[in-house]
Amino acid sequence: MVRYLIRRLLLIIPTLLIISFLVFLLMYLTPSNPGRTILGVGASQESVDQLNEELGFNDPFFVRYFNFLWDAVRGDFGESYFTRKPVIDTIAARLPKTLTLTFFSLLIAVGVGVPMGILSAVKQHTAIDSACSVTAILLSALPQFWLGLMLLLVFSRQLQWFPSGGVNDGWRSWVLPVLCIAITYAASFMRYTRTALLDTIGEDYVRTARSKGCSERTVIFGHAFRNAQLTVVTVLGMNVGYLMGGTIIVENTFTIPGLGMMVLTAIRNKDVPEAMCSILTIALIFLVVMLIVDILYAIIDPRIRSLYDSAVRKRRNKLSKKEAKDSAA
Amino acid sequence: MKKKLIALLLAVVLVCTLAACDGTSGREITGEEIVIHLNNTVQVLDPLSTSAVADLFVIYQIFDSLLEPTDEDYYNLRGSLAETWSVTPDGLTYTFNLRQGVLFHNGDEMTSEDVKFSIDRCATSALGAAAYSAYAGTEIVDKYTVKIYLKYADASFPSVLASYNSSIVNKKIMETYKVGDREAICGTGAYKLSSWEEGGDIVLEATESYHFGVPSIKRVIFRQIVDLNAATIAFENGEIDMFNFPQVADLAELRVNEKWTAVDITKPMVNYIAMQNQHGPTADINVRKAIAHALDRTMLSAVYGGYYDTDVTLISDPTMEGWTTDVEKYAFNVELAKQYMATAGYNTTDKRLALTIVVPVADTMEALCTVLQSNLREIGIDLTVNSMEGAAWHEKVVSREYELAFMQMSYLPWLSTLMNFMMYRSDGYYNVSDLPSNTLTVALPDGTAATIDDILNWAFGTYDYNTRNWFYQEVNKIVNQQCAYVPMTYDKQTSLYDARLENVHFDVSNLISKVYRIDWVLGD
Repeated sequence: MVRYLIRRLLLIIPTLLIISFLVFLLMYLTPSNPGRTILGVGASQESVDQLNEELGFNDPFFVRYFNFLWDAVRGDFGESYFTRKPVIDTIAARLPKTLTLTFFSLLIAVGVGVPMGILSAVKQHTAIDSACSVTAILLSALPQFWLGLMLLLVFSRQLQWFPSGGVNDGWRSWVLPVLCIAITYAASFMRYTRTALLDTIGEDYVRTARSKGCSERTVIFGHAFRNAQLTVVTVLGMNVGYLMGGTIIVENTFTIPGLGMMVLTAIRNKDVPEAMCSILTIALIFLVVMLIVDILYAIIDPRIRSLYDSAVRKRRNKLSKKEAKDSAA
Repeated sequence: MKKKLIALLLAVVLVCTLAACDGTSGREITGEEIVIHLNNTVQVLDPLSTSAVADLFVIYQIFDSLLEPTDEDYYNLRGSLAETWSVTPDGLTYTFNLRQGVLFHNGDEMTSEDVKFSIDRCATSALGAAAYSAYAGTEIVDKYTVKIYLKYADASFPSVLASYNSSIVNKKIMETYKVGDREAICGTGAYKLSSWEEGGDIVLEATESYHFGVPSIKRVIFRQIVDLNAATIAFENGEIDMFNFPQVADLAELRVNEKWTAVDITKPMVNYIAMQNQHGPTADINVRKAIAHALDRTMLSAVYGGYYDTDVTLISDPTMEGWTTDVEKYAFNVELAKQYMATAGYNTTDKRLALTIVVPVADTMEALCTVLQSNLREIGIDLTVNSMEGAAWHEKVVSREYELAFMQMSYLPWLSTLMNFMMYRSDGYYNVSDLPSNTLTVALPDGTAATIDDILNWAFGTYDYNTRNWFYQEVNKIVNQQCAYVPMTYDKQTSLYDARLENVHFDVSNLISKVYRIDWVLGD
């Protein structure tokens, strides 16, 4: 298991390299002129050329890419073309906000969606199931920008319970944006949980558990849901990764200075250092989260754990056989 | 299970009730704080590294220049950090006597060393260099006196010194820290930076020894709300006191509320179409005039909800030198446009003209191009729209590889001369007057005939405002006569603020000049 983890961790390096190359290439291929963007349309061409030279924007592609890599390896991700601040500082300031938003949104989404999904599956073909399913479909069909606006109109404008945006008002600042994400994601968790649980509820081992005389609670949570958890964990992992850069609409609506807005602005402005660093951060988080998901698989399902171990055993056996062959030769 | 669910629901209701008790509606106005909305994220607070409006809102409060405009007039200047100033008759040497005892926000005294450093920095920077083309150097006479030398007379130089680019920065600080460092944001302005949360609030505190008096508002909060729906709600809730540039759709409702004062400003920016006048079909002045007369500006404005000023005849505005109303207006007249097309050899049936316009990708372009296509179709022009990414569009414009091009020109009044050069000189970036020289002669008072380049050169060194203005007016008249472009609309903007705020001034660039002048007038 440990070897497997080390191997997965090492795999992150080439993955990030490939991602960095692709992003850098795409940024390079799209027409851009940071000097012009920074100085505005009124600036002279000489000034624009001078600034592009200062920013190192006129160097050939591979020189720029390898300079970026070399600096990144030493922990220097460069400075934003626009803010002139080290991009790592900007990410350090923004990442916690996106993490907070993601964590609490998913906490509520899982806390509401999963129990609803279980309830719906257990009470399949009843009024409760229909109500939960309809609610889930309705909520997941709501566009996030519309939902955000409605939350603002009702809870901020009419009732004036919560501020309209920003993060200056303590926990109250987070209620509406968290709700905005949680509502749509809860619906998604509900549907995935229901489907996964319905798949497992009909399995032989669940029937066996029932015939053994286990209580319904033990049957559902101890046997059926245990296997359905794999789906929920996968969806959760994917959503964490997605939300790292996918909260743009909510961040924009509720003025949360997070990573999503930063990526969007950086790409729009062709701010290469900021775009590269923020996308790599998101990619890194995504890869780590997917690794954690794999670990959780092993914890939840002993069969998977044994697969990891057997893979290592097989590899070890192969190596020892090769060594034996070599020594015999 | 049911009991637990009910308990959970009750807890949620309780939390919401508690939140309701502590609502945000009751933000107390003490008269010592103002919250100003910014519709974009502030990126950098260095006067020489930005031209973004959101950045400038804040920079204006933190930094001062040697000179400053008097109440929205960039050609009538007063000393700010310079107490007095003079210029030699040849216009080549300026002497500035600095205010004594002016302190930077870190406590250092502002001296000639800082002025020389700041001006040199401007002259060599990418953003400032163009305006400083005449600059030769600065000499420190003593601790509070500097002489600035020019290579040749430049009448707009004092206005350049009054611009935000020419803000005086702390030499010691700038040599120790770099742009982007929090410590480098150190000016002599009425407010100093107190805190700046990345993407969040920027808080400024009043300095106690500002040379124009201590501000009555002690704390300025710049709140960055990019989403205008959210900003509208924040304004209605009283979370912000000054709302800059609301959506057109919300304006009608906001205007009627007596709690707020609305100020409409025509932005110093004109949208226009540049026409290729060196080759191709638009080299024929009749085609250009036909296009100018075919454009229905009222329809154009209507597709934007009427929020455009269509009374536009030049690619200039009244704040700019050279502004004149004594030019041909090229009013909307389809029949006249058809006549010009007929003179050029085209008609609306079998001899139609095909043209292409290059436009940058933008939300507003689709509606604009639809109107243009519709207008031009009527006079026998089939217009193809080539919509391209901003940088690619710039390349086309700079290399003049277009038949028609959508253009925007923002005016910075203190750069009037530079702007006129860019628009009209044969080597100017935006040159729209690249016409055959034999069509561009004008009889000047001394009886000479001159090309536009010559007129601009004369204007450059003319210190008398009226004469200089006359030169620029002549250029505008010639270019207008040759119909080198089609001015379309000016953008408009509205700012709303709490009606209890007094002395709110917006300068010509539509920025709040200085918050230190603003006062709250609160009843008992």
